[in-house]
Amino acid sequence: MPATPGYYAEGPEALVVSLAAKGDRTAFAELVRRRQGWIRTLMRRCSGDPALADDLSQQVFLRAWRKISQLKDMDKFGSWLKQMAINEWLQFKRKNDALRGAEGEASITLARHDTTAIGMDLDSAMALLPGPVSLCIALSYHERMTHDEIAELTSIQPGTVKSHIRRGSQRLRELLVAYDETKELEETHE
Amino acid sequence: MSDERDPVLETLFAESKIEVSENGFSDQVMAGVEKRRRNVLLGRIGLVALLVVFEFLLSGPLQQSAGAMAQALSTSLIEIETGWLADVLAPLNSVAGLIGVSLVGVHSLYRKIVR
Repeated sequence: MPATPGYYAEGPEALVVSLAAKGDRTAFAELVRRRQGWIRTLMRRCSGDPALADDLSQQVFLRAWRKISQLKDMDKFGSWLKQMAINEWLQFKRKNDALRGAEGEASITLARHDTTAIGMDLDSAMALLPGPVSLCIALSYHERMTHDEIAELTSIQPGTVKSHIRRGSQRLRELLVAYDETKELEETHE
Repeated sequence: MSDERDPVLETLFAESKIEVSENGFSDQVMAGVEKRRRNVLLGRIGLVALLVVFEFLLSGPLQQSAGAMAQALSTSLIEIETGWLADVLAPLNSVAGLIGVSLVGVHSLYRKIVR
């Protein structure tokens, strides 16, 4: 009898992964349900575009479905999927940057009204960074990963990770300079 | 390695929490999985059907043509009585050898003319 949706909801992940690896689509649907929020948030952070983030996330899961039978250690599904998401993002940016040209002198118009607007401004600013830079920034600030962890996960040299984060942070500060001024004003009033 | 983060950016990242609602995302992914499974299945059925048709329609004539061609290509140009000498010269003393040598000659001639 085929499993119904939610059948695996309480199951340990390694077990659900091993069932999915044997071709159980209900088990895979459960993995998608569990991990979709995290993958989409990371993609959203990197791309700054919700629709694009969802498209890329969908590609990540479809690729995962194709390759899950090759996964040897079921406990490492999370990091395996994260690796796949990172590769998807870098691949997308390589294609896109080649078409669009490298980092431009673009600027953004800040909204700066509430926390939703802060998110939008941050998304717009992140979208202007080159792929590997936005990825390193997202993993550092959003995922709270160390430089070494980022280097290991992305296969980028630790020195390059450090320089990407430094360069990306500077660029973000330039793009979001108005937030510095707001902060200074608030501190003066206090 | 220093993992220091810019405090202003840290604040901005912390304040801009992203709320991602499910909104049928998992269903979309699973629809894609199902579509792919269907396409793979259809592709396999198509390939098998093509092979069966190929086998029925073309295997006989193809085998006959290949056999006839192999026989024609291996036909000796000059009859050599000595067995071992015939074997040694077989690659050259055949229609295939003649075609090969001709092709090499035409190629050399072409290169000379082009230069």
